[in-house]
Formats: sequence, C-alpha cells, structure tokens
Amino acid sequence: MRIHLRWLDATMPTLAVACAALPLFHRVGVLEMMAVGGVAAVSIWAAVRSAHVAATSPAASAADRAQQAIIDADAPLLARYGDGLPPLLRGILPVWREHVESVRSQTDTAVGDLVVNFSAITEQFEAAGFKGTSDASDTGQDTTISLLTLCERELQPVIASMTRITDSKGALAASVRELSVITGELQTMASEVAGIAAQTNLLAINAAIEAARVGAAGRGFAVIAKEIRSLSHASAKTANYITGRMAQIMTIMRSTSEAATQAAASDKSAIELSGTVVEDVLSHVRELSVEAQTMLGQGNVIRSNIEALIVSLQFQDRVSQVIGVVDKDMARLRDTIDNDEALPSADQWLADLQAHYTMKEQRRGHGTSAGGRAAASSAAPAAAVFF
Amino acid sequence: MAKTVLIVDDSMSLRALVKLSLTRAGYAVLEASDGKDGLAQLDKAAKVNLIVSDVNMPNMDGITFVTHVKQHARHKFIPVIMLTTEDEVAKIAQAKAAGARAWLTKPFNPPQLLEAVGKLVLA
Repeated sequence: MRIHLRWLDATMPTLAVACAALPLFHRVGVLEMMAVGGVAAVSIWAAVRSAHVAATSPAASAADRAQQAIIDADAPLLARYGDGLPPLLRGILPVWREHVESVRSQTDTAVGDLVVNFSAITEQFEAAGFKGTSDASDTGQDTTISLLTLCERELQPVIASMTRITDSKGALAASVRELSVITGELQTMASEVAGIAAQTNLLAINAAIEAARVGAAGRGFAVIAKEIRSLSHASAKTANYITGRMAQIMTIMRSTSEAATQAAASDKSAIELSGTVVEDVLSHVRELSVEAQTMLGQGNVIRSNIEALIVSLQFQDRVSQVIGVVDKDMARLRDTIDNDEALPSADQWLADLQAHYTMKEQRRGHGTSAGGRAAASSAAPAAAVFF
Repeated sequence: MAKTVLIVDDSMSLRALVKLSLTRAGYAVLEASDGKDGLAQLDKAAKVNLIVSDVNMPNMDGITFVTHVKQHARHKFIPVIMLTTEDEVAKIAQAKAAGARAWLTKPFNPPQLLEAVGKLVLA
C-alpha cells in the first residue's frame, strides 16, 4: 500500500497539471466539463493523501501524532486503507475514462459544428462583398474597383468630346455670320455697279444727242453711243440681278446664322446638362469605389480574424492530445490492477507516461509540480519544414 | 478545375479547420479519419493532388499511412504534408524517410498551410 501511495504521490501531480491546463483552453461553454474526470481523480488522491498528511503534519495535535505513531507502528498504510484502494480504482477508473472520453468527443463535435457554422457565416460575408485580397479564387473585389476606375476613365473623355463638339458648332455659327457680312459687302458692290451702269447710260444718251447735233459727221459716234447704252442696260440688268440674288443669299445666310446660333446654344445647354449628369454618375462611381475599397479593407480584417480564429480553435486538438494521453494512462493503471500486476516504481511509470507525449506543453507539464500552469501555455504556429 | 486535397486526421474539428482554410482558397477537399480510411479514400477518388495527414491516429498512424501511399503504384507521386502536434525530431526524420515532403506543426496558420500546399500540390 505504501507503494501505491508513493506512486499516486508521484503521478497525480502530473494529472493535476493537465487538468489545471484544461480550463485555460476553454473558449466555449462545453469545455467547462473538460476537467471533470481529472479533477475527480486528483480530489480522491488529495483526500487519501490529506488523511495521511494531516496526521503527520506539525500542525496536527499531539493526540493525532500519537495516534498516527500507533498506526505507523502497529498498522502500516496497507492496514489503514486495507485492500480497498485497488477495488476503488477498478471501479472508478472506467467511469473517469467515460467522462474524459465524453468530454473529448463532445468538444470535438462542438468545435467541428462551430467551424461548419462559422464557415457558413464566412461565406455569407464574402457573398456580401467583404472579401480579402489573398484568396486564390478571390478577384471579385479587385474587378469591381477596376470597373469603377474604368467607368471614370471612360466617361471623362466623353464630356471633353461633347464640349469640343459644342465649341466647333459655335465656330461654325461665327463663320456663317462672317460670311453674311462679306455677302452684304458684295451686295453693296453690286448696287454700286448698277449705279455706274445708270450713269454710263446717261453719258451714252448725252453722247447720242451730241452726235445727232453734228449731223453726218457724228453718225459713227452715235452708233458707238448706242452700243454703250446697250452695254450699260445689260450691266444695270446684271447688277440688279446680282443684287436680287445677294438679297436672297443674305436672307438665307441670316436664317442659317440664326439657326446655327440657336443650335449651338441648345447644344451647349444639352451638353452642359449631360456633363452634369455624367459628373453625378462619376461622383457615385467614386463613392462606390471608396466603398469598395473600404469593403476590401474590412474583408482583409475579417480574413485576418478568421485566420486567428482558425489558429485559436485548434486548442481542441491539443486538448484532445493531452486528454488522450491521460486516458491511456488511466487505462494502463486499470489494466495493471485488473491483471494484479506489481506496480512499477513511480519513476518508471512516469517515464512510460512521458514516452506518449507529443507536445512541448506536455513535457513542460511533466516537470512541473501540482497546480502549476506550465502546461497551459499555448503553442504558436511554426513555419513548415520541407524535405 | 479545382485541385483536390485529402485531409487525414482523427479530429473532426481539425479536419473542419483545414477544410475551411483550403476551400476558401479554392481547393476541393476529401476527408479521412485515420490512415486506413485515408487509403480507402485514395482508392475511391478519381484524382488527389495532395495529402495533408496527422501523425498520431487510431487504426493506422500517419507514418504508416505515408509508407503505404509511397508503396502504391498509383498514389506514390502524391505529395504528403504531415500536420501534427508532434514535434519530436525522431518522428520528423521518420516521416521524411517514409516519403513525406513537408512537416507542419499544429496549431497551423492558414497562410503557412496554404503556402506549403501551393508549393507541393500536383498539377
């Protein structure tokens, strides 16, 4: 029995460290159950141990010490606890293991469900546009921003082009007006030609009168004067014709100029209106672009939070490893008792236990006294090693 | 077409976390709960481009699983990443000898996992 007690003294602190670590892992309510099996084991060990320690501690009364001395002298621990401990352990170890396995299984399922639900929420966020930038399949957000930038780049030249068209129409109206002025000048010149023709006609009449006065000597000159009158009539007629046509042209030019001016004015107001509309559209595009950038930034924050959460949620796997080793060790104790085998030394038992550790936390916990927190320190992600 | 990754791990929650990381990056994922199940999944699957396997698992551990994969005519070229809480140098050496291509210690960081997967995934 002394061996049993020494063995428990040596191994239970390790179990206590593992159990003490469990609540520190908990981030979900179900993990409150994590330490049930281990705490129960430690509690029973503590009760057994305290009965012995209380009787031997300096604080114990003289009567207690005397009583203990009698027990130590007359009845060793085996007699004190009888053969009750092996049956007790045989009875409770399977129950502890059931609890431990139940906790392990429940947390694994709960965290698995949590991840599935979390995954669905993440997908909904991404469907709503909150996507980060580093996914292999994630180009939607960038595409949206590129399209908005393209919109702005394409619409700006449209406004400039429309303004150029208005300007060229204005220039056309100005040219028409200039042409109208020149046509007016031509009309004046035609009137002057008509005036010259009239005066030439008068001169020719005078010449004919003078030729008639000189008689036969002036007959030849009379013929010339007649021809000159005919030419001046023709000139006057042509000048009048030109003046009439010029008047028509002036009327047409005036109406063309007015139409061009009116068209330029209405084009200008239409283009100004279009420009305002395009500017409004561009303003919305810029707002959308800013919102898209903000969503991209928020998507990146969500992404990094998801990554941190994925790392944190792996606590369950590590807890499962710790519990698994403790569970196997309880099974080993139960088998040893069932097979009525002699218990090895505590050092040997602990060495066997240590051989099943897979993590630094377990090894650190192994070297820590009961109640220590070394096993609770969480591991940080490490870089991959390539072969 | 999405590349297919087989996750072999006895922890359902860990498989879910690896799956979440990989599917978000555009990979298709198959799951197996231990080495034995992993071999069965490989035989059933049309094509697997990469395997991510735990080491400590019931029924068939990760090192044995990799050894079987590397002895199989059809599967031997599939790269394997060991993803485990195990950090013993001896175990890492065993995995390398068995034919694994990389060793990643849990808890894994998704970008590190994706980088390793991206480096090794078969075309």
